[in-house]
Amino acid sequence: MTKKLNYYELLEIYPAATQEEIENAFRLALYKYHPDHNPDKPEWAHERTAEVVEAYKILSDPIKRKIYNFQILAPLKETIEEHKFSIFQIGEKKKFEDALKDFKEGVELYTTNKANSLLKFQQSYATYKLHESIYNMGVIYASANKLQEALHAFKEAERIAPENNHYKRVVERFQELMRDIDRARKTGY
Amino acid sequence: MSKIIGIDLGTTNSCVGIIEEGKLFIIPNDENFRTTPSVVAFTKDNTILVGNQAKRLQIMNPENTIFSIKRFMGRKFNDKTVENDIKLVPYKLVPADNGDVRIAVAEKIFSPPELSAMILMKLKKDAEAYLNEKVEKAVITVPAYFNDSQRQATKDAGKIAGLEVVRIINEPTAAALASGFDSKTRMRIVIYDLGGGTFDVSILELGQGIFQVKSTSGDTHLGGDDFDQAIIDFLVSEFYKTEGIDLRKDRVALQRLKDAAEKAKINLSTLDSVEITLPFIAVSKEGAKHLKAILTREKLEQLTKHLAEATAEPCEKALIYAELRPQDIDEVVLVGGQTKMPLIRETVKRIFKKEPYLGVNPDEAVAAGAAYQASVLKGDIRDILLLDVTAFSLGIKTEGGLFSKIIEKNSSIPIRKSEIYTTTKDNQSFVRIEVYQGEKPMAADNKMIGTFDLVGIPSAKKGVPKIEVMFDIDANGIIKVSAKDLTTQKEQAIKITPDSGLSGSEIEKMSTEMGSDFAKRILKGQKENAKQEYQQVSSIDDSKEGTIGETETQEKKKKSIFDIFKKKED
Repeated sequence: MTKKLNYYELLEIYPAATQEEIENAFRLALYKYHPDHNPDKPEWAHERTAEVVEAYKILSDPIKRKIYNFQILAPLKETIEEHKFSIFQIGEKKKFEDALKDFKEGVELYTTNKANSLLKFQQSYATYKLHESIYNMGVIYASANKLQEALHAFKEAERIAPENNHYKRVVERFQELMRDIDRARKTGY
Repeated sequence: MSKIIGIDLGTTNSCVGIIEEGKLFIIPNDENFRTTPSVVAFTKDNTILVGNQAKRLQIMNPENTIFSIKRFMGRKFNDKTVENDIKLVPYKLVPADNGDVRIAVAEKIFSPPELSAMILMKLKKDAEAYLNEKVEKAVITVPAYFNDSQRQATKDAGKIAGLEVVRIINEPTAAALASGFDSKTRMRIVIYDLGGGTFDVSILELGQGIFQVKSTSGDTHLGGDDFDQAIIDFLVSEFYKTEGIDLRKDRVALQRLKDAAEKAKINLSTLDSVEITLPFIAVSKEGAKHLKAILTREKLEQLTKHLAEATAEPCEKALIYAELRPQDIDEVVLVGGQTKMPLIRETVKRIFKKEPYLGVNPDEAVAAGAAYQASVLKGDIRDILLLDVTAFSLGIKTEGGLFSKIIEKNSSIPIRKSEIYTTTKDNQSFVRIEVYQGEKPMAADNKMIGTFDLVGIPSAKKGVPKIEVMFDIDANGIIKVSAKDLTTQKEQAIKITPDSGLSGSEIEKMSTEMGSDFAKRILKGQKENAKQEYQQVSSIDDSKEGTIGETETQEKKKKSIFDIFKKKED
């Protein structure tokens, strides 16, 4: 199976593309993939066109596009870094393993049940202060459009792991996103 | 590659088009008319007449003459709309075993797709005669508001008639293709399509050859027929007032009234008043009674104002869905015979605050658009592309009878979308997937379009299994639904089996019948009845029936029939 392309890759444009470039790319992609122009491979054409249509729907709407951009920058973390525990820290190790279990369940649930997924990350975070867990909570809040909660979570992740540049970048970009959305809503984009 | 024709299979009239070497041709029928009435008649001598011949004989033979069959395509007998329509047609409707509508005529039971197939077959034959080669493929148009089973029924009709339906497209979208607007410039247009039986309105954005539908709305039961009915009701009540006779009970009288009403309506688009004369419409103790009435345009407008007004709401809805204001619209294109009425043009002007565009032929635009799409599919035209939308939201029934939407209405198609569901009981081994279309929050208030079971789910606590339900709408607007159990990673995809419509074997059987028996009977009708019919038509003319100001079309009809008659003599 080929890697699922993100919407920019699918439309063959830069993430900084203007609205006009998106429109043009959408039309070109339709000509390229539409079943009407690919009678010899209808299934492939149908799938691709459905993706192109979805990509255009998101990217042609300024607010949806901003949130999508952010999601590309901040995907869910699916692994957790290893912790070393000494023989005297059996209790700690147990706590870490419990947290890890919840974390994995949270990742598992992410695509199907966002609310339960969030709950698992919260449990994981409460058991052991894992910055990955709280960062994932932020991602889920953001995808549910709860921007204040998301920002809070990202800041917390950054506070726990200040050495992680990714968190720093995410917080910066997220604040920027919130300002943009605010402005867009005020002017009625 | 074989030729593909474009067919506008209308409620009252049908039309066929084809693009040859980049030029549009509307294919005339065997009597040289550019549109063919969607009427099928069964005569006493076991022949089947289709088109003009059938329509002409309608008055003598109302019970065995089938018109407006499109209203019953893909419908259930107990549909509310069917209940109303039964009263309006003189032929007999019966329910099928699966609850679909069937028509009992000439001691046989027919499905609506079979009768539509007879019309299609006639159109196919005329096209073959015109093009001088076999035609096996067609693009057929349907109202944008046709649901899945109505689309399927239309496809079935094509199959029965021996036509491969390479694409079903929406009528307003087809009309947009034929509008001839320069596709280099970006513009937004409204297609206002008021035909014989349905009203559709679509808003499209055009640019660089792409016709993207933004939204669509309409009313499946609003059209020219309703305007005729308003006139009939008026005439019947006037007649009752003066003579005390209820004409509603007499089917022949009603048929004559319908013809006269339609003619009066058409003439009132150009004239200020018409006289309606129907001699010998009824008999009482005092002798024969004649109906004579003057209908003015003003009166007609007063009788049908509510019908014209009823088109406003779908138009406003379409604007809302497209997130546009009337001033954002560049052109409003009128399609469908009923839009020739001045009252409709005024209504359109008021809704969209703009003079409507009159550059397309309202009777032929849809067929022309179908022909353009046929040419695209053939690979001849490469710089046009249609991107239509689905007119309904689609989803499944979930716990508590709630309707869980998976695809929102006015989403561009093709589309593929999935959601994940789970079980509601411990150790549940199967789930029943009930597919609905509609906008109401409770599933039961929407229309169920199909159901199937996903079986073999391994034992697990409730809420644990993950079942992915995927909806797929292809470019024809035809829906496929599949379900997959994600826990086992075992793919159990099932195609939806519609709870209505014809089975594959039924279609096959009808198709063979149509190819042999019916074909002979239709052919017989075309040859043998030419003479007989000429006499009948002239006798009707002699009785001076109809309205004034209609001489031209009647003359034309007479002439062309005469031609056939003469040819046969030769």
